[in-house]
Amino acid sequence: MMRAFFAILRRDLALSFRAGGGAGIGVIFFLAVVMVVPFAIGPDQKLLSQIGPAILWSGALLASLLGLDRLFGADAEDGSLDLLLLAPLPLEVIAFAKALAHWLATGLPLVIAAPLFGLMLGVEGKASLALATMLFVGTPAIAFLGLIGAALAASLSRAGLLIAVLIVPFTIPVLIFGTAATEAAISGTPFGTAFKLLAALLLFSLVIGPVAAAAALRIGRGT
Amino acid sequence: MAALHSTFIAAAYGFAGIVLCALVVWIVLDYRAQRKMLAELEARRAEKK
Amino acid sequence: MPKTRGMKIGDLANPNRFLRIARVAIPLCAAASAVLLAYGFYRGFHTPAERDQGTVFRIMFVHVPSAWLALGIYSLMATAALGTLVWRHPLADVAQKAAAPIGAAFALVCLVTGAIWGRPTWGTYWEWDGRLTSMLVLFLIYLGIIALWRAFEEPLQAAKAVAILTLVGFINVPIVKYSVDWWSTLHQRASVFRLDGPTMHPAYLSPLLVCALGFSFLFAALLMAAMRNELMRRRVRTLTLFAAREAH
Repeated sequence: MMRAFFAILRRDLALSFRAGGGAGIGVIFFLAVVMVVPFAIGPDQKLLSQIGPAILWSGALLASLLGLDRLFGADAEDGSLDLLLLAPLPLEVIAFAKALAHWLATGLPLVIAAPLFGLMLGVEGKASLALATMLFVGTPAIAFLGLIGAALAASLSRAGLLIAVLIVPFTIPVLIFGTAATEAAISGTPFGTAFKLLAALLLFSLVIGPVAAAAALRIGRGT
Repeated sequence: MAALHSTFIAAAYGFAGIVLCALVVWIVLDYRAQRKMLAELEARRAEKK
Repeated sequence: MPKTRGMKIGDLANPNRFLRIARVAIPLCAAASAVLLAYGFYRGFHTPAERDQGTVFRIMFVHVPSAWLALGIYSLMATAALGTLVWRHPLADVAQKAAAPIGAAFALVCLVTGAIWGRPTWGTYWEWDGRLTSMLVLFLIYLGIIALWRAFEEPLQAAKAVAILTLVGFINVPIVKYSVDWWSTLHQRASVFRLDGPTMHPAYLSPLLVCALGFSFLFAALLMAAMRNELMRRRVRTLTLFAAREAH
């Protein structure tokens, strides 16, 4: 079972890093969001460094939602989703592997890029470390919640915006506790209430995401 | 102050009324449209038989 | 071919009984709603002015029942979602689909009347206060559900997908509510008037309850009418498909 799990993980990672896989686009979109905000607000360095973590969190959230339609969309198009449904592996485990691969390909680069982009917004040193840590916990939660939307829309074409609209309300708690934990970490108490609640949200999404996604995939294929 | 308040009250009740009336109108129009289509389809089926 | 026909008749057996009941119940509920709302608003507008807010608190008689209904309709939809997925009740997904736009309408009424109420009370139309913000998130969830309904071609597949989304939302709504409350106390927002606390004077409570009951009857009438429309729409769909198949 673990071998099949890692096989799916490897396959999805290879596919997304291959040309046309789209792993890098999320980071570019993230950069675009970070670039747009100072143009809208004005080049006030003090204000920007104050709201920097919030901008980076919003950008990471939007960038995480962006690629979700490819999570199952490509597999549904070329028929490999039907093969996966026939696999001896529980569908929940397959969904988990796919979401993990999706996060490694699109979420982790955001976490790594965030401190770099943070420099442009005056988020430095301890603050950027705090931000990266909290994004490291928060972005997988977003990816696993997004998994549900991706599975619901697996059989639909052009579902990108629909998935984002479906999932945004459910990611509000992650955003709330993620930014609060970042603020707390910057001010010196990194692992307080907000962090614990953020971690709890991550665990919750690791469970509900694959379970709901598997149910959605089963009905999508009419079984 | 009281006069001002009554405009706010009127606005709130007016908005609620518009939204709920729109809902009622939509449901009634939908009912008529579906009934008409059903009648046409049934008539066509009866014709064939 | 005979298999699909048999299924269709089986599906319609129960809905037919529903249609017979609805024909009587819709006008009754509508009448009850009209009487109760008229009485409730009449009573509500003859209450004494409130000490801090003057008369503007009378918005409460639409605002609060809308909030209750927006939440209640979502719970009803979650029950119907269970009915679709677990018990496979033939009317459950019809109820689910019919309830969504009505719930969204009540959430919208709650939001807008809340904003109008906020202007003279807080000085701004929109305050990022916990309750209003949670209702905004609920409104978005309603819109997502409606969007998902419209994305699918086949009604039964749509019903199951929406049922899963509704249940995921039902688990999430308390989490959203809790986190939004946590967030709004963290940011030290001005505390809002408390409508549900013991501070409410009984003179306001009884008209409020009458109005809430009136709106509930309105919802019942609208829900049954919308369910009837949906049943007819599905019948039109199957008949059109049959006609197309026969033409071949």
